[in-house]
Parts: sequence; structure tokens; C-alpha cells
Amino acid sequence: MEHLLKLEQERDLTLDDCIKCSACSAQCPVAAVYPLFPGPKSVGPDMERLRLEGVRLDTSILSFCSNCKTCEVTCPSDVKITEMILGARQAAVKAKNVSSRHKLRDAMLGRAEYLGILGTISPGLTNGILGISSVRWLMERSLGISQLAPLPKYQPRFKGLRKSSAVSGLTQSLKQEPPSRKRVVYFPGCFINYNDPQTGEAVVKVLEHNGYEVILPPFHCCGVPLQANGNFKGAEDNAKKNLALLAPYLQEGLPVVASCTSCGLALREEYPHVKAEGAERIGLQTYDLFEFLWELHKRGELQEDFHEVPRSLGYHPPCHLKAQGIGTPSVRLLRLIPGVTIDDLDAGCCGLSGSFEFKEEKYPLAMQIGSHLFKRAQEGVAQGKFERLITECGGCKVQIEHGSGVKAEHPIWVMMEAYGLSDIRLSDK
Amino acid sequence: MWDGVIIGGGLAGLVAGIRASERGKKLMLVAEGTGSLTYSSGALDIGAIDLLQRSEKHPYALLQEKSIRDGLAYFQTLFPEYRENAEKPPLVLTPLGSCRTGGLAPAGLIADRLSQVRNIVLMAPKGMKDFFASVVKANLEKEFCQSTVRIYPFQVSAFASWYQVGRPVNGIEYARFWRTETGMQELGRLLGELTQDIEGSSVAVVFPGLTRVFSESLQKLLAQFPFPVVEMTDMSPAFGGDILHEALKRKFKELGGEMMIGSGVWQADCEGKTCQQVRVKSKGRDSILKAKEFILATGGVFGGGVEVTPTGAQEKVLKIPLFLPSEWTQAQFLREQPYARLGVEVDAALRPLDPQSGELIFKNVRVVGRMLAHWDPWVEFCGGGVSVATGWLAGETL
Amino acid sequence: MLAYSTQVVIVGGGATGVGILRDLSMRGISALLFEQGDLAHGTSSRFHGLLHSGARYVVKDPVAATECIKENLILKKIAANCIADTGGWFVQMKEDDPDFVERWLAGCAASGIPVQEISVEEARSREPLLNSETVRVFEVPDAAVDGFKIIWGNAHSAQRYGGQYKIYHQVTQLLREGDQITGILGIDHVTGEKFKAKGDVVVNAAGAWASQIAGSAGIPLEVICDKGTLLAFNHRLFNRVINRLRTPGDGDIFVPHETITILGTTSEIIDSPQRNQPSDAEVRRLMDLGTQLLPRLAEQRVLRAFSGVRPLHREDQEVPGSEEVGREVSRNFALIDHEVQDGVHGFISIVGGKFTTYRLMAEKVADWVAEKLGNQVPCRTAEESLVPAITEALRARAFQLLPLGATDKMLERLGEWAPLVLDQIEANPAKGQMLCECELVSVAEVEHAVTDADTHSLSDIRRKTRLGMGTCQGAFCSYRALPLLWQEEEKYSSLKDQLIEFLNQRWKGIRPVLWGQQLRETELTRAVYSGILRLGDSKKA
Repeated sequence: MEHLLKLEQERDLTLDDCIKCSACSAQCPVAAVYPLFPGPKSVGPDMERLRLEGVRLDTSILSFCSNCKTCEVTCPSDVKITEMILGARQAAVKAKNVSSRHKLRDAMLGRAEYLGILGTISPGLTNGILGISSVRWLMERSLGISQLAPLPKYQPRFKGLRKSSAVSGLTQSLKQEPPSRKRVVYFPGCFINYNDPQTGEAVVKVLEHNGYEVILPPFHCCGVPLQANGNFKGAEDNAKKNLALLAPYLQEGLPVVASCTSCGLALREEYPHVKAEGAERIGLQTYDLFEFLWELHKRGELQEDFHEVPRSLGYHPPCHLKAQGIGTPSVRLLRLIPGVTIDDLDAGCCGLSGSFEFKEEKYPLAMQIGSHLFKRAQEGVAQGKFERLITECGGCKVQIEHGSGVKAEHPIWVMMEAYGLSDIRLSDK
Repeated sequence: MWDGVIIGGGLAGLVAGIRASERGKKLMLVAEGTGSLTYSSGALDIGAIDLLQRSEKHPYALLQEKSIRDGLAYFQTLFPEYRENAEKPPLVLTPLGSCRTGGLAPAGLIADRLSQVRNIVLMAPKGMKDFFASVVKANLEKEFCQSTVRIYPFQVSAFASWYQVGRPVNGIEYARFWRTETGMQELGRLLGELTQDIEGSSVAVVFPGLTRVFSESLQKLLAQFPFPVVEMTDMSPAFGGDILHEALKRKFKELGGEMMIGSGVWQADCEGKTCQQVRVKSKGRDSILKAKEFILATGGVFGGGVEVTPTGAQEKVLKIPLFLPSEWTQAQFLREQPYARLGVEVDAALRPLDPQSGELIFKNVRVVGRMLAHWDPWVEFCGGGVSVATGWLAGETL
Repeated sequence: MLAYSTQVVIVGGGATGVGILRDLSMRGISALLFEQGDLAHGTSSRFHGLLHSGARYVVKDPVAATECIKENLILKKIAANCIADTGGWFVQMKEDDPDFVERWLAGCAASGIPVQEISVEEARSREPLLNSETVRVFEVPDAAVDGFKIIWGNAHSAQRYGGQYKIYHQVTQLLREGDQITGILGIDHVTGEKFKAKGDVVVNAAGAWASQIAGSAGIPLEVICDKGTLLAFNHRLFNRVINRLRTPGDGDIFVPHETITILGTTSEIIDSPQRNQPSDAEVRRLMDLGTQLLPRLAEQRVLRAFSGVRPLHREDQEVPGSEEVGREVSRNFALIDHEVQDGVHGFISIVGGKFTTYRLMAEKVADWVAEKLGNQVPCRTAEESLVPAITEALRARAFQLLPLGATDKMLERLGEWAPLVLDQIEANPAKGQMLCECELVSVAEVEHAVTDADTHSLSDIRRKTRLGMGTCQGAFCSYRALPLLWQEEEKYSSLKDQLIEFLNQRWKGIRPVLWGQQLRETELTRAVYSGILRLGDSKKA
């Protein structure tokens, strides 16, 4: 109770920091395409003063905030704009102020994890069903899930490297070495778990290549999709469950690495506020994957036996990487590899923003939001500036491919190629 | 270890970063949020260099005349579309349609041409936020009394739903739209219709919410019509400043610079007269940036680089002692306000000095832009010039 | 010279003046009120906005306390749209005298003020910013009242009964024929013309200016000008009125008022009501005192400081002025019949009192006037609502056109005039946009204020709409009001002068609190007006 009150007070204080300059609204990707969304300044700090007064306000518009946090990154005064909006949504959910059809839909999309488990029991079947347009039409009519949005394909669930047969040769050879004393906890996240296990395996391989033993506790969804869909209680429950899994490792001082930028942001920004063991350490010990590799490089511990990788790549920085405030470590690191050139596009939000785009009323907005990025990607390829894009976020990847037709990949695959660990992904696709 | 860490992502910090990157330095730029260029109209003030150079301790007085000129010239080589005319500074239009001097301004904004025409067509985009056609018309008629001004209202189909719900379209939204493919088609059609509609040859068009700088295709399109199109500066936050900010960022990144935006530096670790590293408040944990040299470009009071409390003022990152004027305010709001001259005093190499003793505080820190003491952009109108010149010098010498 | 004729001339358009105008008009007595500035520009809007329950006075001034609780209940009934019934707490801190608490509780009981003790634990959870060293907390029926709305409500209600008022009409001289006051002379500041008004009775309700008015006819009237300075904070710090439970002193009241919180007050005897500029020392003192109730006060953003001048009445003229401390003087009002006191007929002054009891003061004056004029109609101001109730149909229509929060705020401010604004928005949805984004004032509402015959400047618009009273303190909204002023070109001659005047007015309140974010806001405002618009550039007209 005291803890929550304190959080609210801090938020009220950052409310005072807003000087009404409108820089956030000028950069908000949703306000730019949707006239009914008045922008983060309005629904954030402006409304917050009225909410504190107790004025009745329309809360339905709040769900149009896609939680991309561009406003917070833009704000020169460090106002917690998205936090205010989420707080107001939370209050509105408590007051049961949400339309009933979308309640079910939001509950489903929030449960990326359950959807994922269902999907991966029989991925072929699920993908088949989701590929049938009449099913998608039905989903839109009944659930409000856009029939046009690029639902990611489900894959056999990621179970870590050691259980995976595809890469057993390499693991075998590593296994014969004496057990490493360098250990790291890997938080793969739902996208890796259910939609892209190969990338998860690549992450593990790169870490192992650098002499780390990779620990993979059976994590739950980080909670970001739950929170974005208004299930604040669920998000907190998941955080608690994950913290319980993490606590012993945090206690040991082990680093936690996330390859998904949204999971990473949640671990760094949200988890420290949860009342559970480990919360005080999680922010301090969580690293973005490439931030972690850069730390190794700085300490001279990174394997830098890179092969030349003659590739020109366009880079899309995910919104939730920017929100972490750590720069663009993957660009920095990949530039160490001979032959690699990277064009940091920084062309704004892709539009997907977690599950924002899957909602029927938001699909066209999401496509419009991403259009600038799609155009830059297409132009870059057409002009021969780069051959494909790299981006850390699985959602961004799916959306970029859907919107622009340009292939996108997690940057770890460049590392894989440089280490000569795999030639499956980047070269063959 | 970085060659340099730049703290602050406004005009001065970015110019410093670009120049130093060009010289092969590995740089990281950290900024709390978007820099103050977001509020700029896109026309940079230079001010009366000769006069201000004679004003004691003014940044212009600290720099050699040559440094100022070199800095401004450098900026124009970076962005050839920005022009300066030291002899006769160009005029640009304010959002109210009155004239002001433009300093370093992109060609599209220059309004001098309006004094040579007899007919001005004022484009009035429907529902444009903070644009008041009737007031602008009256001011244009006052400024260019040889000319008659006609308001030409129009609407854009892409914003139909905006109009319908009564949401205004701000200048940034219009300006962004004109740069899209659909926007350019629509603009071509609109100006084509206008060409049919106007008589005589002594015509110029004044256009709010349009910015052609950094868009070749837009420039090409506008050049097709038989009349000059003069852009207006828009109310802040304006696209003119935003696009310059983007261009600077892009240039910096292309040269290999990296940026951390959205997470300011909150503390520096120093030993003696050397700053060793700064702490960035990244989510969850500080990021620590070690560098040989640092550039402090945190934008003074407005940029958030100085914190003023009821009892004093503090430079936030390096805790450099500040020059504080003895008087604080005066009653006429838009006149000189003494507090505005607070800031860091520096030597000719822009390194910080103790304002009491004159002693050097840090050997490896340079202070640029609005953080400097003894100037006030809102009475001297030299903000762009000071930021560009000091930024350039810092980048040149880092 | 323009000449008016009426039964009663009222001098002063504060709460008391308009209260008298309404009361007399409801009794069918013709009355004409003159105000030197805008209605409510003086003390009636320059106070903490606390509708007293009376609990603050129970120990020292039980009569005032009893009046307060009665009026408190009446106003909550007749002026609900002007009052936020927040309730109030009296908070005893560690260092406060427990004996006083006992006397206070006894006083409340004697004056009929309901009191309920709140556990400290509950108090802390309901008001998290409250000092944790709180000892006891008591709830009383304090509330927040909007001086602007009450005054406009009275003025408009009076108009419906035939009462009239003239603003920017300064009374310069009482007309005296022997021992009879027959009217007044004055000057219309809008046109610059002089005017005259004849009446059977002249009521002096000029507050802090009352002694000047009486003095113009050689009638001695002492009014003590007691300056009180207050601070406005950017958001709601407390959800209810917070009083310190001890002998009333400086800086011991917080009042939540619309979106902001007001901390008051100080007390300083000054020699002229014009000297109402808050000083740095007063601001520092308020911050120090307020910190005792709200320890993190220094971190909260102060929007501005402002001062009002309380016109106090001193019955005992022997008290030497040098030893005077404002708060020791009675806050009770006095109705001074100059026939009895000075042998001058047809003239009455009403001085002292407090905002909470304005209606009672007006009733007493109206009773006196009615008796003089032989009018038998009883007072009805305690029963009849100031403003007609807002119908559900109107509310529903407004919801269709404006966002929820803006709707309620607009309806409270405009009441029966709301349909005019809604018609405008219906015809042109763009007018439903928020011109003032901090306080949710629509373009149409500002336009309504701009075209009002009683509006002459941006400051007048501010008092009617809250424009420029939010976080940005006019940085954006005053610019956005320009095209609306431009439509009424004849009325608002130079837009530039209007803007500069308004910015200077806002600046007056910001200067003493120029630190932290308010200083950054000021730099943004300078960037807009000096930089982007070049308004300060003397070379350019």
C-alpha cells in the first residue's frame, strides 16, 4: 500500500515537470494517424490534473495508446507519460469501463503465452487454421481480431539448446569441455518460445560460444501484453512468478539477458516495482542481449574471431529498445564485424506495438503508423543501400515483413554468421 | 572508452558531434529527450555579431570572429540549403504574418520576394492549428503595403476525418503530409488550380504548414509553378525545427555517432580537473560512459541543464559553479530578464571556469550553446549563431 | 455627461456588492451597481476559495463561527455549481497545544458545527502527502468555493430581476447636498467619459476602497487593509481542505480548487489597497509554513503567487495602528449607518466580513435599505438558487459535442448560456477543440466570452473561463485567443497590446515563484512570444 502510494506520488511529481510544450504529441505515432486520439500530452499529463481533481473523463480513448513509449523518450522533462496513461487505464478497468466484445479479445491477445501454448501443441494445425481467411473473418467478427493483421506463425516451442536436436553436434562438443563457471540466465520471451525458437537457439549458441552456460528457467510471459491489454493484475502475477524463478540466480549475482526488447524493458522498468523477492536486483542485473555482449567486448572477454560478413544491413531500432535508454548496442557491436555496414534507419514505430495491430479497429492505424518505416525499407533495398533489415523485436520483424515485403531478422544471426556457427538464416533466406 | 561523450542533443551538441565524428572520433551523444530545436521555427538567429562581440563575456566575445564565421560556414557546407547573408539578413514570416530577420534560414522561408509583388495569395489550409488566416492577412498587408492579399482556403482529402471530428491539423501534420507521395500529388493539383485561378504575373504565394527543405522532390514540384512559394514559420513545436533536428541526427549517425535519447546523464565521476565518466539513468540500472573528453550541451534552464530552486541554481551534471546575476527579473515580461544570463563561464577553448576565481574547473570538458553564461537569445536573437559556432569549435578541437 | 437614475446606487462589484444587487432586485427595488474594474477582480477572487464551516473561528469568534456554518449550508444549497463540497480536515500536529483542541471541540459543539474524528491511519491513506507526524484529525463541512462563479451567478440572477451593473465604471465622488447623499460621479474607463448617477440611497460596498469612497464626501470611515498572499500549486495536493488545528495563523490552510491547490495566507497591514504585490519574503514564509503540513512541499510546482486585500473593520478606533496585527482584528462585518454615525442621510457602508458570509451581509444591507424605502418584501436569497438547474437534456446534448470533462466544466461555468456555445460547436466542430488545453476551455466558450459585452481584455476572458490559469499560465492559450479577439477588432484595438498586457499580468504572479519548472515554462513562453512571434522586438511593430 505504502509502496503503491509512493509510486503515485512520484507520478504526480513528474506531472509537475510537464511544461506543455507538446513535443510528445508531435512525435506520437498514433495521434499522427488517428484524429480521435488527442495525443499523449492530452491523455497523459493534461488529463492527469483533471483525474486528480476527480472530474469524470472519457476513458475509452486511452486504449488507443499503443504503449510504444515514444512520448517518454521524446519528453525533455522526463515526464512519465505512458505510465500516467496506463495508470488511468488501470483505474478505468477497475471501474469496469470497457466494452464487452473487446474485453474477451483483449484478454486473449494479452495472453500471448496461453495462445502460444495452444498454438505450439500442434503448430501446423494452428497455422493452417489461422491461415484460412474465413477463420480470420470469423475471428474479427466475433473477437475483433483484425483479419488482415500478420498473426505470427507458431513453431514448435523453444526448449533451449540442449534438448534441441538440430544443433546437437555443436552442443556435444561444448558439453565435453569442463563445466563453465560463467553462467547467464536467458529470458527468451513469448515470441522466441512460440514463434521463433531458432533465434532462441542462436542466442544460446552465441552465448555458449563466449563460454557461458545458459540457464533457461521455465519463464512465463513477461506481462507486457497483459498490461497493454488492460490486465494489470495478470501482468503483476506473471512478474511475481518470473521473479520467483529468477530470485535464486539474482541472489547469486548472475546476469539476466533478454533478446526481446519488450521483455527486457519490462524486466528493467516494471519488475523493480513489484513487491517480490528479487525485485530490488532485477533492474540492476538485466541486460539487453547486445548490451551484454558489448560489456564482454569492453572487458576484452568477447570472442572476436569474426569471419568477414560482407553484408549491408538496415537497422530498425524497436521502440522498447529506445525506451530502455541504452543506445543501440547491436549496431555498435555488429560494426566490429569486418564487412558489415549498417544504416540505422530510426524511421519511427513499426505500428504493431505488441498486439495493438491485431485489433480490428486498430489494424489500419498500425499500417499507417508503420508506412514511413516500410517506405524507407523498400527504398533502401531498391537503391541497393542494404539487402535486408535487422531488428531485435519479433513483433517489429513480423510487421516490417508484412508491411514492406523486406526481410527482417534478429541481429543475432549476423553474429552467428560471423562466428561461423550457422549458415541457415541470413544467407539462405 | 569513447573519444567523446556529448551530453545534450540540441543544435550545439549535434553540431559538435558531427564535426568531431567527421574528424574520426568515436562519439556517444546522450540526451534526456528531444532537444530545443523542436521548438525552433527552422530559421536560426545569428544576431548582430559585431555588436555582441563587444559585449563583455558574451560567447561571441570569447570566440574569435574567425571561429564564428568558420562555424557558420561549416553549417552551410553541411546543409547548403541554409543560407546566410551577413550584409543583408533575409526576412522570414512569423506565424502571425509579420516579418522578422531570418539569420541562417532555408531558402523556402525567405520572404524578401514578397516586397516585389503586387498580389499575395495566402494559402489557408482548413483547420490548421495555430494558424489564423485573417490575422496573417492583416499583418501581411501592413508589412507589404504595395500588395493586396487574398486568402485562398483549401482542404486536403487525407484529413477529411480530422475535419469531420473537429480535430485541428497542426503544422507538423500538414508539413509531413506534403512530403508523402499522395501529398505531393495533391499539392501539385492544388497549385495547378491556383495557377488557373490567378491573373497577372506579379504574384507570390504564402504557405503555412509547408516545409521543402531536405526534400528534393518537393522543391522540384514547387519550382514548376510560375510564382514563388514562400513558406511561413509555424507555431512551436514546428516541422521546420524538427526536420533540421532529424537531419542533424541522421548526419551524426551516418558518420558513426551513436545516440542515447530519453535517458539523461544524472551524474559525473571526476578526479581533480578531469571528468572520467558519466552515469546515464537507463531503465533499471545506470549506463556508465567513460570518455577522454566531454561536451556539456544540456541547454541551460530551458534545456534542463540547470536546476533552479528557491535558494539557488545548480548545473545538473558536473556541478559546475554558475554565474548568477544579482538581479533576477523585471516587470516588463518581454524585455530583458536578468536571470536569463546565468550559465557557465568558460575560457576561449570553451572549458569551464569558476566564476569567482576564474580558475579552470575541468580540462577535458567543453561547454557549448545555451549552457554558457552572459547571453540571452530572446533579446539578442543570436541563439542559432551561438549554438552553431560554439558547437563547431568544440567539435573541431575535441 | 451620461446620467443614470435609480433607487439604490451600489458602489463595488465584489461578492457583497453583487449580493446586495441581487437581494434588492429580488425585492423589486431598482438598483444599479458600479464596479471600477471587472466583477470579482478584487478581493472576492483573491482569496483561498475556502467556504468556511466556521470551525476556524469557534474559539476566538463564536459569533462569526455560527454565521459561517449557517451560510455554509445555505450556499451549498443555492450555489451548488460554484462549490466543490470537498469537506475539510483540522489537523493537529505534534507541536500543537492539546488544550486548544479541547476548546476547539467545545466551540464546534456550541456553534453547531458537526465534527467527526478520523483515525490518523485513515487520514494518511486518504491524504498521502499529509505530514506523518499528525496527532489527531477532525472532519468538518468546509468546502471550496469559486469566487468568480458566485459573483457572476449573483450578477446574472440580479439581471433576471431587473438589476443592472456597470463594470469599468469607477466611482470618483459621492454627490452630497448638505447632509444628504444624492448619488455619485464617476468615470467610464472603457470610453473615458464621465457619468453621474442619482439615487435615494447609496450603498458603499467598495471593500478595501470603501474609506476612499466615504472620504470623497468628507465622511470618515476607517478600513484596515490587510494584505494576504497565497500560492497556487499546479495540481491537487490534497483532496479536501486542510486546516491546522491551532490558533489560526499564517500558511495553515490548503484548499483544493478545481485542478489546483491554494495555500494561504499571510497577513500584513498595508496603507493602500493598490499595494497588493506578493513579496519574495511572503512566498518563502508560506513555503516554510506549508511544509509543516505537507513535508514535500518544496518539490511541488508553484504556478504563481497572488495577494488580496482584506478590508477589515475596527470597532475600537483607539487601538494604535502600529501594534496592529491583521488577524487579531475582528472578521465580523459592520453595517455603518452614516446617518447615526455622521449625520449624513442616504448613505450606508458595509465593511469587514468574509466571503462565506457575503449573502448574510447583503441581506442585512438590503433589509436596511428596504426599510428606508418602505419596501415590505422579505429576503429570498437564502432559498432561491443562484443559477437555474442544468437539465439532463442539456447535459446529454453537451456530451455529444464535447469530451466528458470539458462538458461538466463548461456547464458549471456557463449554466443557462451553455446552449449558445453548443450551437456554435454543432455548426462547426472545430470550435469544440480545446483552446486552453490545461483547463479544458473550448474555442466556442472563449468566443462566447470574447463577444460578451462585459469583456474588454484577455484578463476579463480569463476570469470568465479560466483561460491562462493552468499549468502553462497563458503560454499557448493567449496566442490561440488572438483570432477570436481579431473578429471583434473594434473592441480589442491592438492585439499586440492585449497580449503584452496579459503576459505582464501573468508575469506579476510568476515572478515571486520563479524557480523549477515554472522557470522553464517561462523560458518556453519567452521563446514563443519573443522568439517565434517577435512580439518583444521593439524594431518591429
